[in-house]
Amino acid sequence: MNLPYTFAEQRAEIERNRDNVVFVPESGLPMNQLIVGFDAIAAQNKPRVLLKAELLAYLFDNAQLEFSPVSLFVDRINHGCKLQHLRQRWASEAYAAIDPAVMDGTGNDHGAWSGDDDFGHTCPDWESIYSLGLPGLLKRAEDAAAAHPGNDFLRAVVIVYAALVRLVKRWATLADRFAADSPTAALMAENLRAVADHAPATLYEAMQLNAIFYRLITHVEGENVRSLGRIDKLFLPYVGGEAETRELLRYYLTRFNDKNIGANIPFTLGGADIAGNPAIEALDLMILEEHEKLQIPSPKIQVRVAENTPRSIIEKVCTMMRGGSNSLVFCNDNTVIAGLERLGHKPEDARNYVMIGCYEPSVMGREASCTCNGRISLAKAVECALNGGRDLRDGVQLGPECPEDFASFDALTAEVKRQARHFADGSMARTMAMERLYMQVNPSPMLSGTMACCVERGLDLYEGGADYNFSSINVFGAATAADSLAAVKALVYDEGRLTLAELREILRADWADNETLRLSCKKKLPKYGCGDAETDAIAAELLSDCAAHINRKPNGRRGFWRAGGFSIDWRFDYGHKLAATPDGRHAGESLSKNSGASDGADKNGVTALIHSVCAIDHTALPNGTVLDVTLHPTAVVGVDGLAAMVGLVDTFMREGGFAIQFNVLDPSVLKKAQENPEKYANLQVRLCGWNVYFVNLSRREQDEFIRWSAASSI
Amino acid sequence: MTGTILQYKRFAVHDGDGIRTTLFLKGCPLHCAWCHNPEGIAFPPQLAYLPHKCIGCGECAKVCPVGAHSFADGHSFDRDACTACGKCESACLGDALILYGRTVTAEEAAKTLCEDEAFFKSSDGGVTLSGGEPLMQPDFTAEVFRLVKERGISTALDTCGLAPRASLDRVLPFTDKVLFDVKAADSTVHERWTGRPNELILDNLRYINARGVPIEIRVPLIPGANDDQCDAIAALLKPLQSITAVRLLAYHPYAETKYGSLGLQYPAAGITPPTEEQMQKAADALAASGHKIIR
Repeated sequence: MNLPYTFAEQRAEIERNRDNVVFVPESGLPMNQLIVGFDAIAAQNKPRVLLKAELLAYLFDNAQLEFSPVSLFVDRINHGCKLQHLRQRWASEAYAAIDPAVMDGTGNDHGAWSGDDDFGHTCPDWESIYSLGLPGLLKRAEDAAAAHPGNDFLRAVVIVYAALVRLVKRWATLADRFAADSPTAALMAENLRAVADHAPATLYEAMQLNAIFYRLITHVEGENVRSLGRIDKLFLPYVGGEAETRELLRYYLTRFNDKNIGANIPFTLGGADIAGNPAIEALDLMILEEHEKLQIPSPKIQVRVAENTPRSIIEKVCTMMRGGSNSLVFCNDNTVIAGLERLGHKPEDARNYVMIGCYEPSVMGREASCTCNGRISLAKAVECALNGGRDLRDGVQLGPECPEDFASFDALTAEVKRQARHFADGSMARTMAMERLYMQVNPSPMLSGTMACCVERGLDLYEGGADYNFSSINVFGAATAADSLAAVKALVYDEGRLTLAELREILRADWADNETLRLSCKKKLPKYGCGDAETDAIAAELLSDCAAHINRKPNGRRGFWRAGGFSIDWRFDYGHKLAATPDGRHAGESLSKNSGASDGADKNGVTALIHSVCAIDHTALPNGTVLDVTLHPTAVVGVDGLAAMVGLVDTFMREGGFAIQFNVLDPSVLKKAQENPEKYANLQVRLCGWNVYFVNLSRREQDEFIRWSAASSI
Repeated sequence: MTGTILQYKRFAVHDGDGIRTTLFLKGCPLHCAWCHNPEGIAFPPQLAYLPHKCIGCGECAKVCPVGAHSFADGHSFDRDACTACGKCESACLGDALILYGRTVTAEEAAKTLCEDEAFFKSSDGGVTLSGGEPLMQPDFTAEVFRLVKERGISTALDTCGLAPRASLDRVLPFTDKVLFDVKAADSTVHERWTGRPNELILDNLRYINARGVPIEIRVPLIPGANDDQCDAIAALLKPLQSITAVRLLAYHPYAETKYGSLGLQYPAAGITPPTEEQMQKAADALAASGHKIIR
């Protein structure tokens, strides 16, 4: 491959073209005409999967195409978000028919639980995509359709993939028009023709195919593809010389640092099954180094850690984290694989997991994970248990009715578990009512057509075509709940300072006239995250009880439920809807974050925090969770600091943690960035599961992040 | 066997190899003008009071047995009356009161120090005793080290080096590494800034060296005090074969609040942290020792 200029020379231009897409007017119908044709097809009365396929084919054949002679890759068509709008209509029509009692939103409005559809959080079958290429995928679908003539899904896949081949040829023809003036355009034309013609033979072809599939499935068909796959394992067969590989990586990685890509698009590196291979190690280091040099928050990288992971990789990632890159998370192979096997995954599938989205394991190309269906606040379960199953602020019944007093702490704890299980039941019922209608709402022939399992079964991904069809509930606020119960135990049951009724009124009044008591609850009573075995055990027990209620229950799509433990930014909303809690927290303050301690409660530092987190059985939370650690730069400076950071990661893995990510920053720098955003344009922070440029946050979000960093900085 | 301690610091990464837990002991024979742990100098317990953190809750006054805390017009603290019993520290809701100087048994100390054993194992870390001066409590230090080593955890002694030979003999058999401060080569200079001459200190250094215990030398760089000493320090370190590295530490001025909280005058007022050029010059001078220099 010979390029007339380097990526570095053209970077500004490449990024401009990425963020301000130029669609070539002559390459397709103008938007007003496109819409007329689209609406005419959409008005037909036929099975939704066929309708969707014809609409996709129409857009692939007629939409205007992007082309920029410097970008090296193309993947965007001017589709006017028509399919997204149509899906919203189909969804509101379909869900309107569900029993209103099941769809009732009271649980969510009160910060107790929710259950929803989730068409995102998928990973295409990248192995099929690369091994077969576009013509091979089409052929596979044609053969299956011929064998099952009445199968609408397989017909739909054939329609879409035939159109996809035509689309790529249109792109190649378009590139030809620029080729006379641009050697890059000539290269792109040749590459696109190859992609249309055969399975990828080069890294450039594989990357182009990857970009097209990611973009069209996510932004046109409408599923949120949340993993580019295990790109080291997938790309290795195509890797050529180092210089060319590095240059291609720069273009490829930059392409996904797109402001239109919501919560960062991830890929996974490493893993026990490939980690011994020196070629993988070299490629991983190359990917990490190029990502580091680009200083971009997206794509983000999930690094699988196993016993055989080379130290060079862990050190490189820690070095990047110390340098301010937050787009990295370490995932523990042992825990993740054991968790998937407990769910019923075959060992060989479990070993081939990718992380979906932030830290949610999924078998590449064989699974509909739906990792964000439901959520449950354990802290709200405590509130309800203390108040007859009702919201403490407005008295609305959220859980089952229960007594207002309990003879023992164990009886109270049992009631908290009962309330949480009730929340889970509501979440599952609501989600299942919706997912039984998925084929009315979101048939997905393009995504499903990548998956060998769906084509073999003749079933769309959303009607159970995958080998593994999961729905999920994330159970969060465990630290807030455990701290609250520990406080009740001390105040009411051990010391007898208050009755439950007195405590309930104090909380209802948000500690009014009881500031001394509030501070003593906040500062003097035991907290999760400090290595205190008793309090840690409460959190572990609440999570494992709720997870046992969720995991392996049948869902509405020929699969099962699974539990996770991440809160991401839901902790703000559900915290806002939570009354004051016995741990000294004011009404409205955030819940604890992911697997972590209540904000600022981890007073014994990061090692004690890791002890506490690892007291939780994470194999029972296979939908994923993470520990966020904030370190002050001075704590990890120099050679000693790097060794210490690696030691933290290593211990976390050996003690059975799930995933861990770091913010290495000085809270005072954040304040400076707030005042002088132009000087800190590249300052990245890891928010929850995704990371952003700090200066792009709203003032409120910035303040929240500064407060949290200051409280949790070690 | 008991000792008087200041505090534990977990995830200590600059007190020896790997991830460590450091226990700071109370009492030190030197009075370095730049000392950043003034709470470690005097042996008897002391109460620190941080007025800027006081929230005026009055809980301290309720529990104080001698009336040292009063709230007539804001919080006033009578240091002379205080017996440093520590009751107010437990009651304080603003984290404004800190008791420096608690008595613990060697068994308790060892148990706490070993809590992060898993982290020591993954990072070749261990336990460090620092201060103050651990050799002022040689029996306690030796016993804690012995108990820690029984569990296969490595030990480091962070010392100023001023101690009777018998104290060293008591502790060294249980010590895997010594972190040894060298503040000046010239004894007069040493005495001017630390209150004590350095002959015994350097003698002890050579003794430890001869016993073959690995030593990391620590040289705090204090502009105006010892920055002219580096050539001479390098010369005296050169023949010592047990030295693994020489660590150059920059003076920092962040201890002033701590002095105030103890009712003490800040003795280093006017000293400024070294510039990058001064640090580099010192590092270059120390490199003449032939040892590895760490900054």
